[in-house]
Amino acid sequence: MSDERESAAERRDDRAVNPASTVELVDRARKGDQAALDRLFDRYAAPLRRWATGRLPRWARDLTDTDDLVQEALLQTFRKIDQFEVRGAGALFGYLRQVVLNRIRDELRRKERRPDAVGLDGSEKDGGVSPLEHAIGREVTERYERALARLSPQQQELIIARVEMGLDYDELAESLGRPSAEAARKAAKRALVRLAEEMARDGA
Amino acid sequence: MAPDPVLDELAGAVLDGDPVNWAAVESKADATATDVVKQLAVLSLVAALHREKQPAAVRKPERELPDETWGHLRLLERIGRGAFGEVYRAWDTRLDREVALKLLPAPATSSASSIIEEGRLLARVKHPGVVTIHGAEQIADRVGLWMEYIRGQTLEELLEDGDAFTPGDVIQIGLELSRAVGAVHAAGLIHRDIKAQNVIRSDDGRVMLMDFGTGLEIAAPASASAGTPLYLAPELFAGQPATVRGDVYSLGVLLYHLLTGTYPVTGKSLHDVRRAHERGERTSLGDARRDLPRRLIHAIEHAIDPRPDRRCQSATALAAALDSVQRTSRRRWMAGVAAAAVVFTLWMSQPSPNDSRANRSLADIARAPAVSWWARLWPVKPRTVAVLPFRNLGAVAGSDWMAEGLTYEVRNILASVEGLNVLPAGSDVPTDVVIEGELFASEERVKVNARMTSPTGAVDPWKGATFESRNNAVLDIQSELAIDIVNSLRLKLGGGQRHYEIAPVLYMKFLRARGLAAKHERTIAAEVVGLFDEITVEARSYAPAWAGLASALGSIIRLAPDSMADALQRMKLAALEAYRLDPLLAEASAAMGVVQAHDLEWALSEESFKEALSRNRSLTWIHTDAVLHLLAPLGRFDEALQLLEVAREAEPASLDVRRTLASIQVEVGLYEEAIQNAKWVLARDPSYPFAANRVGRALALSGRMDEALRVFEEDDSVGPGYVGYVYARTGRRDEAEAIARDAARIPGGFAAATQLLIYGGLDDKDRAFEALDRLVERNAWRAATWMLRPEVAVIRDDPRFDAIRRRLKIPIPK
Repeated sequence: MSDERESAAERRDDRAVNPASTVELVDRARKGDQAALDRLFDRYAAPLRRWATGRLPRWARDLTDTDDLVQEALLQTFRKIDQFEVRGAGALFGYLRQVVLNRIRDELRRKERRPDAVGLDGSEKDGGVSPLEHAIGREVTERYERALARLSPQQQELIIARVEMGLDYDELAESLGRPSAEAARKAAKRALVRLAEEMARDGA
Repeated sequence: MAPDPVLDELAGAVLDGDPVNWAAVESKADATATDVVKQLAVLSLVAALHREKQPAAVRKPERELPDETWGHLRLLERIGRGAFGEVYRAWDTRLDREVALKLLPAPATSSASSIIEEGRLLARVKHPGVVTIHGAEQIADRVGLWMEYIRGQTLEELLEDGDAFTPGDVIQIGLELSRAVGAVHAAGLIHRDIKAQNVIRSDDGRVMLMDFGTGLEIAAPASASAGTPLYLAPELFAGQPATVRGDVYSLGVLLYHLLTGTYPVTGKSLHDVRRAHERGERTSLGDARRDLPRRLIHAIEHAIDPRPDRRCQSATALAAALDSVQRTSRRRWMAGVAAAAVVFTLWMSQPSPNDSRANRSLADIARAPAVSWWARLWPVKPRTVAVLPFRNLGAVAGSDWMAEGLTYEVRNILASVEGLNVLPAGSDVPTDVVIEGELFASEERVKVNARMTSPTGAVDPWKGATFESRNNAVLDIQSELAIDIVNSLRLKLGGGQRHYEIAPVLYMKFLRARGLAAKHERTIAAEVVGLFDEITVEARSYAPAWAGLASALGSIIRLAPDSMADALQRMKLAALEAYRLDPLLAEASAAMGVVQAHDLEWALSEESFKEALSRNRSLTWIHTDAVLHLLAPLGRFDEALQLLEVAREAEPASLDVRRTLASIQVEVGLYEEAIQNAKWVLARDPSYPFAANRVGRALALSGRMDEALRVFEEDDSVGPGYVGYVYARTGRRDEAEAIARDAARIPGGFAAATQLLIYGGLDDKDRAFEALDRLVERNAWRAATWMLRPEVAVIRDDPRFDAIRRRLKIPIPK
């Protein structure tokens, strides 16, 4: 039992959920505290990297190290950290996710302009397919993204933090300012049903 | 706006990662909801993909897909390519689920229809060990078979990854597999291509047979080159048609391969193999692995007999043979203990409820299905359980009440099992597991049938068993039967730790006892035994206390001057009771491990400790028990050090772990490290048992005799043997001899061990062996440990040393 508790605690630490200290760290980082910036980095890098592995086409994972991509996204964000309003870890995740997605798209466009650089293994014909697209198809992936964009910012954050980043409900409650884990779960369920409805509307 | 309850429920399952039977839900949903349900199914996949740690690293998608779709299946990635077809992971767009699809290239029309026909027959084989075939069809110029998609690794991949299969694993795999093949044969089919590449161990621990040899005829009409030659029975080389016995042969080769990494008949080419068969060149399993149990060798050799008529005639017969091998080792030991336990119980003339329980428990344990230890790890996903009220079929007054009480108890105990989610009575949510049964009560006894079904198909159904009680006290019957039923279910389900409810006062007492027990000191151990005794009297079904009692008695036996027959017997009873009450409790397995080690049943003990550690890695006293009771007497010090490293990471502040580490470091000559660790312990508890002694031993063995003597003289907890040893090493021969002579008169004995130490120090081989012989008589387990001590290294290079090791049933390294 005790090691479960420990690993849960570790996870929590990894996933950057202590909103008070996230806000505090951002605050310190804004004032130029390098140590605070490093800690923010440590917290957000791992879950984002994991997430990005599922979103990058294979060749991009081979050629551009996922680490680089995530790292650049983090740098870019934290560099402008003084413009960013931190509402909680969930919001920061949503924001970072968008930055990484944009970077992936940039990367794809860049490769398409230089066809000689595409697919060193010779197997790439299209712009590259991510594992997610691979599993549910590009069309459905796009439908998912469109539907997600139509949700309220709060609901988007719930979906991203729970479904994509894998925060648990306690973490969700803390980072999105819900009173309890159960309340967070309820809100997440509502958001998910909304998302499914949006997707169904889009598909019809 | 109130949320739709069905959608809300589904969304919860998707978010929590719980399994959902989408097809069933969709069929029930009304038209407007169907679309949303479909999208939720897609979202569950999105969520699952994100949950996987590294989807890309695990499976490298291949991009050469011939078509985007085949019929209603969308090809996702190629996961395998064989001589006669390719296998894809695919998405079934009709049923919205993942499947594996095997596509065969344009065949001649006649064989195409035979493959489809065979696929349809295969689809009828329903067995948990056989991959379920969903369908077979020809579209355009391709024939496809689509089936259940299973995440896992093939046995060949596991072998390549360097996973060693223990004989126990192989017996278990062989058992499950031969039953699966039996089911295929029963359907009138022959697999034709059984090999390690075609058996997958799924991520949730099931062993599954896949990839039937369908299509072999297309690739090569000459049957010999179609299957894998190394697995092929000799008569098939001669061109005879595939038979059930050919499958049995391949199955035998597969098990041989898992045990040896090679094959009974080998060769570089098909021609080589054929010729080796013709010349009868084969390596018997007994020659390849001399260390295996004879009955196991016999079972497998029987399956790979080159003469078809002398061979094991069916997969079911092979299963039966393996089953008996599996039961024998454990049961033989159990029977011995049981006999001793009964005698002991009579001798102690304990109150009657206990002895009948002890008897029944042994029968139950022997009947319990054995599952290999890795498969017992509890699956991550929680399962939902419903317990239907037990139906009362008896006519005795009060039996209605008894059935109700039993239902209540079963529900209660199940609710304490981690990973099980017991739904309230009357809930109409589909559950993974439904438990039901009947109760018959007569004047003399109560009989209960219990069984398990699985509406969602998440677990294999269980035909159930009959449980019986002759006890007349109603409350006892209820809890006893409920415990038995739940334990059988847990074994069937493959795991789950129980959380016990116990009065806080008793729990405090339990924690105190555990804390004291970790000191491993004999005077304290007596107190610990007293505490555990008190707890077991008050809470008779609290398995952890029985296990603690067994372990504490083990400490006494390990440390007390003389082996005490009654302590050994009591330890056995306590361990058995713990195991009967909760066969999946890590502490219970560990207690069995201790008992088995003292019975010199080393292999069984190792299995028990492995089981214990696989169930709960956080209890560091299980690590130290495994080290002290099992690995130290066997001289497996490297493994001991590794295990202790793991324990230290789990509980860095544990004095017990650090002290045990120091002990092993002394045995292997890491004296500086040993001194450091023992001093670390002393700094935190100056009177911690044996810590000072380890400092002294390390000092003496590294030649710092004066310092060592001072330590030994101050620390009087371990008798005068160590002082005598220092005298022996520093030329004070007379004084050393005097201590050895007086040893016989030391209160409480310990004579043989003391003398062994001193004569070892004097390099007096003969008298050291005499002392060791006496020690073997008194306490064989202690002799095994002490004879490895560096202080008595003088006896090592003598034939008598190995002879004693053999007498102690210890495998001797080459």
